Amino acid sequence: MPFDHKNKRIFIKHKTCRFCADPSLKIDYKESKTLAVFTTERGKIIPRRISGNCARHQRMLALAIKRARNIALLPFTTAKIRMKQYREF
Amino acid sequence: MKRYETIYIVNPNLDADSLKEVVAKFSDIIEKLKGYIVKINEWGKKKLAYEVKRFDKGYYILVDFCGLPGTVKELERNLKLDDRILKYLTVKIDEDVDPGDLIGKEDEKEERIEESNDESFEEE
Repeated sequence: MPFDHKNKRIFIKHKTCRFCADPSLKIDYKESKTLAVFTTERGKIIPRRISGNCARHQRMLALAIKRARNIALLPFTTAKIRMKQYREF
Repeated sequence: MKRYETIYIVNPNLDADSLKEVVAKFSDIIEKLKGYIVKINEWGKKKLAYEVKRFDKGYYILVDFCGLPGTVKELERNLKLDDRILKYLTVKIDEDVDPGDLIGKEDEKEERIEESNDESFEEE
């Protein structure tokens, strides 16, 4: 079989926007733990087509993550170890 | 008047006295420029997500205040000049605020939370 449909389905979990479903959830750049859920291990922002957020909340989320990065609550990237190695030489 | 929120990261190796001095210094700057401080919240020592000026930890301080755009400009200029400050970020929360009203509102909110807590206890 050229394409495995069974494995593909595992990634599609959230179809609704979590912030629309629960209005008590707030997007705040100071809550790094909540924001970290919407970033990859590498620190990238997870796209809307995967997280399932609506356009409005994704915009708010992206802004909050960028602010959190600016004040060192979230990483821009996790290539920190590599940089340390360079410094030793 | 606009409402702002400034977070600044102080050098984590400072002792308690000089830390107080830093907080007092920047509070004075805000008040001198016709600003009103709503609250100061010290988050304490936290691990930074990436190294800033070769530090991997920092002392976070959050200041919530009302002021004019000039207040922020002057505050940020001073934050930039101070060697003990690693990083800072100012965010505008509200466009048009009356500082007198704000202090009253904050109290109300706290009261409401307390009330709701009491109710939940009664239900249990």
